[in-house]
Formats: sequence, structure tokens, C-alpha cells
Amino acid sequence: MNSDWELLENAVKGDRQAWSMLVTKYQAKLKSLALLISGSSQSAEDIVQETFMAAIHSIPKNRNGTVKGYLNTIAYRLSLKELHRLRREIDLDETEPIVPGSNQIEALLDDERDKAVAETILNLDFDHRLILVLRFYGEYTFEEMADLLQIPVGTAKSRLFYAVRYCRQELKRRGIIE
Amino acid sequence: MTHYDEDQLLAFELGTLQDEKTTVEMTDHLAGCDLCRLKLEAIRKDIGIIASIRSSENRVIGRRTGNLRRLLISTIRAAALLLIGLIIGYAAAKSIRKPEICVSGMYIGGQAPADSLAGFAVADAIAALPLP
Repeated sequence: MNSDWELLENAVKGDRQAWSMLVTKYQAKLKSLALLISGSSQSAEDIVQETFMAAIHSIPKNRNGTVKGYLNTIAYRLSLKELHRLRREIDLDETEPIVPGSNQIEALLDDERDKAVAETILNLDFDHRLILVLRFYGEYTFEEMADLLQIPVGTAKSRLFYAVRYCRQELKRRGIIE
Repeated sequence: MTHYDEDQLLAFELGTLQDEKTTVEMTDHLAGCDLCRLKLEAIRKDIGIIASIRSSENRVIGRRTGNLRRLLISTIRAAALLLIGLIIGYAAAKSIRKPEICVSGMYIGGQAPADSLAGFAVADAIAALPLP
């Protein structure tokens, strides 16, 4: 059995060390994924927490996948749910750009370059942003993304290409990359 | 030798080229072209930056502020709605005019009036009707 699945099982049984190891291993990427989908640093922390809680409360019987994929999928779904909740609550305009230095991401990212990158990704339209985040932060394959989002593989590839091209151009314009 | 442009190299690096033939051709070209390899390296570096933002330190274990925060927000929202409802209800109650009650002078003396129809003959009433 995959050692991460064993860690997760032990965490369910109350093994604090196993729990801590899992959290340490996965939380940073999960937090980035949650932040870049939900657009809220406060929500990202809650989503990661709820992801781990959900993971230990309902371990799947089918262990064909990886723990990373399992956690990513939970975090992705919770992030989408949170995004919808925030839009309902704050009436966020989807097209409203994230202002540089925005406190939406200030709280979670220390590095200035990371903040600029996050702002740029958050300014992508939702479809392109989702593909970029799932590919780079969820490490999904094109086939998995196509299946998850019910789109052709070619569309997933095309969206990733344009998303990355936009980010490079924008980050170059801001002097973040050469 | 024809070199590849940035978009082609980006698609190559991302694995988003649509056909296998182009991928093979580019792989062959890159093996012998320093200029394209340099451009590809720069693209890889940029992708690495875009794909690797790191959130700040661990604050996850043991914290359950999310649900508490939501509970607090829901409670405040419910209290605000209740208050608004009370204010509107009070204002509505104040604005409704009570109907004026007219009391016949006969009641003031504490006596009920006599039934004015008592003993009134129907035939008299018909006779009193004006002729067409």
C-alpha cells in the first residue's frame, strides 16, 4: 500500500505524528490551490483545514489513486463551493481585476514575487485560471482535467497555453520576470 | 536554419502541441540549436515561477476558526434581520389608522335602543313606496 494512504489511515486512528506529516507534506500546495481558486486568503486557510478533516472522515475504499490526488480533489471542490458562497455573499464581480497589493492575498503570501504571480493568476478569467491552477498546483493531467471539467482534452491544452502566455506577458510587463 | 518562436516553444514545454509529429521535429531541432534551447530554458524558468507560489507558514493544525467565523456572521445576520423586522413591524403598526368608533347618543345613557322595526307593518312599507 502507498505509504501516504497508511499515513492517512494512522491519522484516522489518532496518530498525531502521521497527521502532522500529512499536513506538512501537502498543506502548502493545497493552500495555494485554494487561494488561487477561491481568491481569498482567509478562505484558503479554512479550505485546507476542511480538506484534511474531510479526508480523514471519509477515506475512500478505492485506493487506485494517490493521497495527493484525493486531497486535491477535495480542496478543489471546497474551493469552488467557497467561491460560489463568496460571490453570493459579497456580490463579487468576476471581471473585477485584483488590485496589486490587494489584501485578498496579502495575508497568505510573504514573498513579493509570489504576490505578483498570484495577482496575475487571479486576474485570468475563471476557465483559464482553473486549468492553470489544476495543472500546476493540483498536478492534474490534461485527461484528468478534461474529465473533471467535462471539456475536450484539446480545450484543456489550449486554455493552459493561453493562461500561461498571459501570465508571462503580464509578469514581464510588471518587471517580475525578464 | 529556421528557429522556433516563443509560442511554439511554450506549447512544446507545456505539452500542448496538438500533434506528435511537431513534437518530434522540435525535439530534434532543440538537440542541435543553442538559441532555441536558451529560449526554452527561459520559458521553463518563467513557468517555474508561475507554478510555484508558496503560502506562508503552517497555521492549519488545530485551528477551527472557519466554522466559528461563519457561525458568528450567520448569527449577526440573523440578529440584524430580526431587528429590521421589528422596526418595520413597529412602523407599520403605528401607521395603520384605527377606525373611528361612533357611539349613538342612545348608548350613552346606558339603555339599549328599542327595535325600530318592531310592529312595523310590511303592508305600510309597501304602501309608502313611490309609484313608478
